[in-house]
Amino acid sequence: MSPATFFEYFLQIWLAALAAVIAYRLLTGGISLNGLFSMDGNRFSPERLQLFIVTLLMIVAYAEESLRTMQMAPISNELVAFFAASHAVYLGGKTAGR
Amino acid sequence: MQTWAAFAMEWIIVVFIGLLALIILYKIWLGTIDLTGLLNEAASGPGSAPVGGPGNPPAGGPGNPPTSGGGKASMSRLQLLLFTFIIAGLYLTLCFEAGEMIAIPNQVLGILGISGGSYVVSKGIQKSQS
Repeated sequence: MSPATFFEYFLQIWLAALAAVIAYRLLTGGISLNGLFSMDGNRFSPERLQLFIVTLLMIVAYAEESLRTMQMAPISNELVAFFAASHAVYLGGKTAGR
Repeated sequence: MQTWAAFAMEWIIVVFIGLLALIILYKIWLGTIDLTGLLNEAASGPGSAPVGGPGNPPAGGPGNPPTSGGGKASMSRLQLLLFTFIIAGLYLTLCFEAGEMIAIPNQVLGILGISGGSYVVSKGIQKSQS
């Protein structure tokens, strides 16, 4: 086995293991997600929820498209603008102290 | 034709980086490298929620060290984490499949930039509010 082949498998396994450790910690509370959708730990923050949903949708769509075409899929400028707008809403809410 | 020196050097680099990566993963698992505040903003004022509580019981033992620190979870940090794993994972997989370094579209770099920029701006807002 060449070093490159070994490293190829190793890197993928390592990244997967790191993701698994972080996911495990998130599930068991080792990494806190308290207050993820709130402004100050008490008030619900819809702008955070919308950013979370947009992020998840974007990730799933992009991963699906990239794996289907087997290349880093280009993203339309409209989608980038939509993503920027989602962030603007989030930052606007944060600035307003929601 | 690859020389023995080049072949040996290649293995040395691979083993060194591999060991480094394994040590980091092992220390994260043991809790020596503390990830409890990975997604937390710094606590800002009396209204901020403490880490722990009914929805987030303290834990212990290898692989699940007790939670500590203050502040609440940050959406921009979570997003950066998710993007990093997805983009890095996809890039690695597709590069290995293609057998070469593939190009990353500008739009992908753009959304990574938006995500990172948003994180920086949110830190600035948080700092100015505290």
